[in-house]
Amino acid sequence: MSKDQASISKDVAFGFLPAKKQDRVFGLWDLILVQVGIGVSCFCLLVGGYTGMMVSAKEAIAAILFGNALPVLLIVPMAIYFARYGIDTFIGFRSSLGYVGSNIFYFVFMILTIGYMSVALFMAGQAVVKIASLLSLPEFFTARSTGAPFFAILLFVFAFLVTFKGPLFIRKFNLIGVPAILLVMFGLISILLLGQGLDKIFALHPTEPYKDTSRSLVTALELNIGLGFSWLPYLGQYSRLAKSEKSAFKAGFLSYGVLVNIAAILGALTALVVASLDPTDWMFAIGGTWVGLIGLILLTLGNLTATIFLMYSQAISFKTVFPKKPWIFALATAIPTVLLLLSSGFYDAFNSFITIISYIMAVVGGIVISDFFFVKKQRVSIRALYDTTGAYYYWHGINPSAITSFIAGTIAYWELYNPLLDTASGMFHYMTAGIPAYFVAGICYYVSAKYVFSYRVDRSIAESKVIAPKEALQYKDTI
Amino acid sequence: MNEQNFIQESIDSKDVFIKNLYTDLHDRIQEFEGESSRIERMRLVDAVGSLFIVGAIVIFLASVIVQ
Repeated sequence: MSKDQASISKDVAFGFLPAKKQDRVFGLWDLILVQVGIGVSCFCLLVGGYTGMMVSAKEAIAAILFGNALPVLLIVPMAIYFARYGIDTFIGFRSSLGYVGSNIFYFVFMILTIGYMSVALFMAGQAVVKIASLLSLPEFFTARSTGAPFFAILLFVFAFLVTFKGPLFIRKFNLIGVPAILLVMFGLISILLLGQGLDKIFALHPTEPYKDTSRSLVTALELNIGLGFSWLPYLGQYSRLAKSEKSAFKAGFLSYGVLVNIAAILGALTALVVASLDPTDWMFAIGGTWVGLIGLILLTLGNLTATIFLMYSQAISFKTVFPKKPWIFALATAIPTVLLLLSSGFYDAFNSFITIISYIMAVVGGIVISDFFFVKKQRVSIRALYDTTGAYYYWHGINPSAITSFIAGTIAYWELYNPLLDTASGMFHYMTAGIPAYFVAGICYYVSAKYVFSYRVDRSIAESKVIAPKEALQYKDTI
Repeated sequence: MNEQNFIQESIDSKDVFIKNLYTDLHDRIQEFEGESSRIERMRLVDAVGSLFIVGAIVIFLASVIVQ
């Protein structure tokens, strides 16, 4: 076996197996640093950009802070589950969704990841188009309709080849890409504060608000609620390596619910100044030629690294769900991304995409929280999680309580807000859609699991086959 | 139901990677069930800080809406 193949196998095993005591290397600040490093991305800038087009600076800050902090608080208790058992998301969700249900959720996650990758790549493609314009390249390369797809697909191929090489090569990119996005943010902060001044920014009006100002604010809230809930599938990744449940919980909340908001707030303020939601438009507009060029290069690097990270994570997750499938098969699941890069259509519909994510993750979040804390009362069998003929088989591998709750949550969400048509009911103005959908799904799940379908594992602790945990060992959490 | 059915099947697999993976899995499950790999559990009081931050943000949002 080659060194690369050995590294990939090691990563697959690492992702699949429950963490051992010596694997738990992350204290509170370690978790915050790595999660913020991964979390601060073009998506945060873009959500901020959309927000800044609809509402003023003060409203944008309020919408971003609330829209992220509350949803993350509602889902981050799952970090306790992943930390306690040392397991990844798709293994952990088997207890609530069933073995097949968790695999279905993985495929949904895979489709969403394809969406994320296409957004990152198309933004990078647009950035390269702007660089090409500066270099006076032929029109094919400088027109958005041709140049952006061309460069985006080229960057996809590059990312695919890097990911194919495996983690040893990828780690070299992380050393460039994460600092690149952080430098972009630092540059934006400096230019905004020194070049514009906060007083001037706070006096600006948004460029594309709705006619009704309350609709603008609540839609901005819903976009950010989507960003907040979108972290659900990523909670297991590092929480499982936490030294304590407390550090997993706190780091998850602070990283995804508070600190990554800095990027979104920057995006909103910059969008207000430049009157454009697109980060690639900001660079020349506020930085001038040379600073703008550096900004575009850094943005491209940051997005390329994000794509590689997503592509690799998706392939590893595929292998943890289907460990017997070959690595190239796992990687090939990223290829449909190319279809979304052929035009700007998907990229331009990012706001609809993020609200679809809000709907799916809010509903699933309600289900898994309700299951672990209220139905199973935090008693899950780690053996049954891995034995796919075991206690979480439910009905043909899917938990019918999860199905009914997903339907209930879907009805609740879409009755309040239609993310495809951007139409909303009157009640949407008072309660958004993602947060009520979370609660509807969670309550429906509790009633279904306890009183309707009432499987043995959900009925009582005495009847379930879990081993009752005795007093946990004390593990000193160093901060 | 034989609790080790699927896991045992995989341990008996001819695929070396799967065999090793599930053998390691079996050992780790034993270790977990023997409670030698547990970590410090969280208490409700540990969430107070997060609740306080969200509370402050809610008040800020309310002040923005009211203005």
